[in-house]
Amino acid sequence: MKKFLLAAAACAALLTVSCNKEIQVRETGTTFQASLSPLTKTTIDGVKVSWAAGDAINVNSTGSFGIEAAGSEASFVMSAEVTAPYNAIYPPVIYYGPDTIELSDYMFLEQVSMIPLAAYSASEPILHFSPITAIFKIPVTGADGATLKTVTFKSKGGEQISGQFTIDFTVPEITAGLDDTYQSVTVNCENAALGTTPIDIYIPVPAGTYSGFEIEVETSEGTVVKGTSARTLAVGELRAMPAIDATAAAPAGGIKTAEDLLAFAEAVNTGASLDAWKNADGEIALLDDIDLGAYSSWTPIGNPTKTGNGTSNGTSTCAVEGPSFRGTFNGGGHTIKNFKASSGTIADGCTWGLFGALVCATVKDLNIVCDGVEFSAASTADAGVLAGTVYASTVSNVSVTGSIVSNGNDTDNKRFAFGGIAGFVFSDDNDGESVIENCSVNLKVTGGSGANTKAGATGVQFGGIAGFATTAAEATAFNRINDCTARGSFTISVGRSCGILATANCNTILTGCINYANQTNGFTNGRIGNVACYLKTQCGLVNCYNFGNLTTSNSQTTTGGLAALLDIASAYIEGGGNYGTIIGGNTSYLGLICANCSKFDHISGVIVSGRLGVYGGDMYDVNADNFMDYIGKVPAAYVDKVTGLSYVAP
Amino acid sequence: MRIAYHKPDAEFGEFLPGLSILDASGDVSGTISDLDLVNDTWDF
Repeated sequence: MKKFLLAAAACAALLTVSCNKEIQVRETGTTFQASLSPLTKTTIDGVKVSWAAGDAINVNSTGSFGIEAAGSEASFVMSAEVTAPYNAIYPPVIYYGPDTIELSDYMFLEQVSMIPLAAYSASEPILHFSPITAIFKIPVTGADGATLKTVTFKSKGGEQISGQFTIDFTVPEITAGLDDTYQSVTVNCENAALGTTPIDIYIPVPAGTYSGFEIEVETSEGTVVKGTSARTLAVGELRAMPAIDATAAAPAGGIKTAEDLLAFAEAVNTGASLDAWKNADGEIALLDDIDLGAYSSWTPIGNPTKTGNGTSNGTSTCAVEGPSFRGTFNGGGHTIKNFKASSGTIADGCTWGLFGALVCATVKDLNIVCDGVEFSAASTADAGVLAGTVYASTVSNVSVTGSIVSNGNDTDNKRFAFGGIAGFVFSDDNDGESVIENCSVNLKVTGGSGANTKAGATGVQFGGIAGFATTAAEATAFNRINDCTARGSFTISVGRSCGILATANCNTILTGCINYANQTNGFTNGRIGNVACYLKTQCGLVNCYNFGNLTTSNSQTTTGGLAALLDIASAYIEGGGNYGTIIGGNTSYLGLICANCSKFDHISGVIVSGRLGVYGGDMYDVNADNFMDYIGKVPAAYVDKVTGLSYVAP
Repeated sequence: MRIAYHKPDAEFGEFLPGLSILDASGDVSGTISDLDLVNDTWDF
């Protein structure tokens, strides 16, 4: 050390004048800085950390001289007298005040191995330094000839990872909160040459729980983005990440694997860039079939915290809060198979599906094969194999096949709507209409309504295509379900269930839809149809057909071939017809067309066929002369509104 | 505002060994802890 000091003294005599401009006086304590090499930095060999030649420390706001030799131990000569207790920090430039440090948000490649350390000693000038952050080690490789420009590491949830932190030297421990505007660290790599030997980037990150991290590696060839989901970091841990090939081919422009799909979902839910999954047309593109068989749970793509899915005419709203999917998803005719996740118990006001909420979005040309997807709700909630909520969005050419199990709703008198394509469908005058077109389901559906005993708007309702569709009462926008088909078998016990749409609550038109599915429903006092259950304000069926058989067993349940209930003067059925066998337990409200048509605008041009019978009893003798007696219950005042019906023998 | 340090030949400079040699006041010894390795992966 003596030899070093003498050499340093000679050097100082030469440099003192020339370096005067670079002496910096900070608010608390004085440090002396100048432009000399070598840089002050630690040495990292695996998990071993050693002092490097030139390293200096700060003790009680006083800087030390750089040490002469590297090693696991070092003796620092202080530039001024320091007395116990000793609060020590490394590197000295992160010292900001007696209880404050400052982690850089901008570094140069030469400094990326400077691991922030702190030490405390009450009396003896012997200090054992330990890390005060976790460390991410990020190796970066690249093609020969390429150069590395910058590496930017940022937290995804807005958590502070640079800037000022409070420090307790005695632990030692740092605490964020002094300035949470610093959520990233950028390393200027000054066009360092890339190759197969990695450039190791070390990023100090304060301990804590983070929503995740994202890293952008910019090279002369472009930018590569990598990231993590949520992480909890501990002080002193070295997070060794896989090497990033900074010159890897540009992202595939689509989704090829289940891992890609999960990463895409994560990006949607965190608001990250979706560019990596877009094709040349700017659509999210599925490039291959995806097998989700390994995933028993699923976080929806676009997973809102609340959907505000109002239920009744006059109060209907759909204010989606939190993440939603808002782009175009092009399935390319590919299949997402083995989708067998459980929704878990969907919280009040929430939604679940492959997609959570589609908002001003389009999903097209996609097939989904589900295997025992289970739906459960805590209270008002929606679920769909494709999407829980469809808001001002278009779904076209999507098929869903497989099986669904309903565990119903834990709460009575709270709507739980579920379907093969969608749970809840909403159109808005400002944001646009929702259209579900050319979609099909072929499903085995089983299960019940849980604790929910209702069959009204607050009951459990299932539609092969969608559960519940509405708009605000004053809206002029419409939901449109066009040319959709349902096949399969529904052995179910819920208040409303059918092949296409259980509840058309407001401004919803079904056109050209066909149900082939057979249904058996044992719910008490249900409202059951085979195309729809309830057509309400300005809702109608146009050229919709039922070919499926329907059996309800309860003596209070209304049962109709096309629908169960029309009780608003603007509802209507136009064209189409029933060819299925309809058997119900409630002989007062049982019909080949509509069980209870108490109010409507018109029922016209409908074909009446199929067979009609009483559950546990006989089949009616329906024929060309009497078929009007078996279309369903129509009040005398509305008989004139039923026109142009024709009978076709089964 | 960005916080930047340890850029050689820039305004933030580097510690200068010996700059205030006449004020030197003895040694403080320092050892250093190792890190705990956690092998992690990128999720996307």
